[in-house]
Amino acid sequence: MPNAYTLNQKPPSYGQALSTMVEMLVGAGWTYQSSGSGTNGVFAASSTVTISNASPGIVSWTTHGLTPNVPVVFTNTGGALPAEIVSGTTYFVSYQSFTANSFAVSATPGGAAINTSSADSGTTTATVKKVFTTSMGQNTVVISNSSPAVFTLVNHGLHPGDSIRLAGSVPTGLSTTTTYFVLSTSFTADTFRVATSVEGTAINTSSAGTPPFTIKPLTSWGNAFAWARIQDPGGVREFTFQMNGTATNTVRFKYSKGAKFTGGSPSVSVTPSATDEALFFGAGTDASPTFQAWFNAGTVASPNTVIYQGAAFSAAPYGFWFCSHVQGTSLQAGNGGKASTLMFDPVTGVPEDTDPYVIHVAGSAGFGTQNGISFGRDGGVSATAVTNWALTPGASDGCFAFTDSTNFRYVQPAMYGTWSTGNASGANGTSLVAGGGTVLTSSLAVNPFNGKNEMLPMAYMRTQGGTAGSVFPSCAKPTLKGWSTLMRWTSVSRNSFMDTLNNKAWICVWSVWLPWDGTTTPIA
Amino acid sequence: MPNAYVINQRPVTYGGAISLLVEMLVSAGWTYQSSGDGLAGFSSSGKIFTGTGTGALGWSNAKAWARIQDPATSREFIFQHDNTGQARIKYSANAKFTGGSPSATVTPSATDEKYLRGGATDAAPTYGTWFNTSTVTTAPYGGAVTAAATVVGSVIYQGAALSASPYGFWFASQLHDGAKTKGASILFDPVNSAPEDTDPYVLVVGSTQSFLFNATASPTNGLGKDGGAAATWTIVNGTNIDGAWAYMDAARTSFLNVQPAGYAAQSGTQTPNVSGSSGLLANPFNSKYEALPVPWMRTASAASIPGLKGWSTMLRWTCSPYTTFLDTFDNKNWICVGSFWLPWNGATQPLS
Repeated sequence: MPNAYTLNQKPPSYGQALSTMVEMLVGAGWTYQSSGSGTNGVFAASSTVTISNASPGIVSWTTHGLTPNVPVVFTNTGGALPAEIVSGTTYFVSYQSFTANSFAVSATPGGAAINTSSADSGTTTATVKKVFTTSMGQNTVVISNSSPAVFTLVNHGLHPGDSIRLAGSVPTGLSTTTTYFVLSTSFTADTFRVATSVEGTAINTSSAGTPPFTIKPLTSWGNAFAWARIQDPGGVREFTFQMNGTATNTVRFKYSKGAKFTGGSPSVSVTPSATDEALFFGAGTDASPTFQAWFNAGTVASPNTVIYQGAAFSAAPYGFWFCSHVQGTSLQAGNGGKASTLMFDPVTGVPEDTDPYVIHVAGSAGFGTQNGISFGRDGGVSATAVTNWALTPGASDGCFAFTDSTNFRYVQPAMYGTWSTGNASGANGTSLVAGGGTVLTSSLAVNPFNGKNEMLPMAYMRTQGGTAGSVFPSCAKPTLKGWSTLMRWTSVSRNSFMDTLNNKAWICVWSVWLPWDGTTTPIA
Repeated sequence: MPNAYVINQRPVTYGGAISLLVEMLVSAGWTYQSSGDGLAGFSSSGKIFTGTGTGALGWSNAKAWARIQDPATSREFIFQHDNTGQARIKYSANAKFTGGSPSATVTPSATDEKYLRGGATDAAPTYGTWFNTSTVTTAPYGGAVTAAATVVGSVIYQGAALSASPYGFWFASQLHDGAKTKGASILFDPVNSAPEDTDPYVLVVGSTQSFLFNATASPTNGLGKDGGAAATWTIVNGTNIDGAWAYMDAARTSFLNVQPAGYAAQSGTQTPNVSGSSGLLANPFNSKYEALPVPWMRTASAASIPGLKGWSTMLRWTCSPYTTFLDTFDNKNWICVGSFWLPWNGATQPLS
């Protein structure tokens, strides 16, 4: 499996942006373990079913709760599946022959239902782990005043049978509290009709309403509280990603280093729990979550002006990064910033490290080094008020890692320090700010021998200071977590994604180089 | 040819000490190109010395000197001393010491020579303090004690010379007790640099600050020396200054002070702690020492920004600086010298 990339993407919604990241991971071998598409949506499930010998073959699953186009996988024990259904292959609930207790399946979303030449035997299990049927999030749609009403959204990406809800002062005949289903009749890439049931009667409208109208697929990341549990290709580490809602740029992320998210009471809008989970962005509980701003607000305020880039490695240890910024502005804080940042950085540490990874998460200052934020956040200042270096994630940008078997703490990508005039304060320099003197990140000259950019390796450290406690008997000195395998320090920080290095194998993201696809020129 | 070492040596004369360094290099494949005994003995083609004492053909004479060439026949050093604890050391990266009017007391010259210790002219040399000149007279390790010979048995010398290309070596000393005062040291450190670097080496010479990254404010000596204090980066090499120098351009016109960069993480006062020099805890997962790689950099000043020379192949930062030679690492393959780990022979417990 090749590596996967997010290249120059400009999704028009928060939901589609998060979908872009998750599907990049899936493209590199990560897998959905479960998911919920949020309020009024669908929850992943598994059940024993039967499959008929018919055209199309019918899967019987009492009160399945699914909607058309949801991916489903069949397995069988003690017998056989119909010849047309292959164990382990992903099929899609069809809009054809769809009822509350049964459905047909198709090979592609919205495709033709599959005929069977025999019924199943033994015990057949149907499993749904991913409930998302479209990458589309919240979007603006044009609705005609006509019989039937015609919905227009260029390249809408929906399929017949998809469920949606509407917002705004919609035309008479439509409601913002009713779930509608996209009809197959007169369906095109840019237009569709809707009904209140799958393949039901098309809805008519009798007024123009007051545009704009918002469409929100109920099986998309754009739905409120939509979430997914994603597992690495090694079957060890997992994340849960959850959206707040369609109109807010906030999210809630959790990480499990080994126990996995098999606990709690997950539902359509509630994430599962893991005994070792680290809630590293957002807060609250699974049942009553609170969220933290992650997306650049420009994603909605100025559609298609936020650029997303990323890379996910398909080979162990499965590192990935993802980041965005507003096109045409500086990457640096105060100028649109770098939002939607998440990096899963495998580190080269000691063999005894049971979780040699650092997670970098940021909503506004991704990969940035200024004092007090992100990479340059002062672990010591806050730690003086927090015992044992427990500068907790979930409240601000930063880098976090397990610094022993149980403690998930703030760590810092160490820079390189030398002495110089004006930086004689104890054993230290004066600032981590670019150009601040002795500490080298964005203030290093190009190589004096060839004039080329430097790319220096990066060591993550638990920073100095704080209150000593049982975990760290002495906090007087830093400790090493390990060496980044994804990042290298740049010699000069960049304001955009424009710079690449080594035949486009690296892309510059503010103060660091990150892996790139070797081909694409990034837009900035 | 195996690597060569100076292991737990306690020479009783300055000549004996400098001979240890030179003979270690020879054992690793370096060769005498010429030498003078400081009296009347002179060889224009090799080694004149037959011993380390005073008198004819001995190393313990003022102005005794040797020209030593690396196994690749590329780089050369001149080692000379005044037999009172001072030395004069020169380096040629390419041209070689084939000029001047060498004699028993006069060292040859090279068109590209750089002073690492001492100065003036070959005919009228000046020297820089190099050897430990403490008045300590005790000698617990058995050396003969005399009040007049201050190095007698009380200074321990250690070193290693790697016989494989690129032929790095180090040599260091310190008093065995009390403050463990550092003495004569030299490091020839091949660095992993850009391919365009025509002399990918860093040269370190030290005395009282040998292998110490001084953690006090505004250090004026040692590897933490304030590079920005002098204009245009040319903190002078030679004289008595402990420090590190390297060519910082491909044309080998700028021989500048460089510094081993530490690792800086922001801490409680928004002041970055430079780790690797003054402190880093043992690894939190296995409680073992760290051994962090060392990048050499031209240090910053108001008029210029730092530039990378390359990565040391001889040094690793320790977690914490050590005052003795006692600590070793990785089955004695590394020995702690000041703030750094340096290659060791994998067998011997160092004296301290």
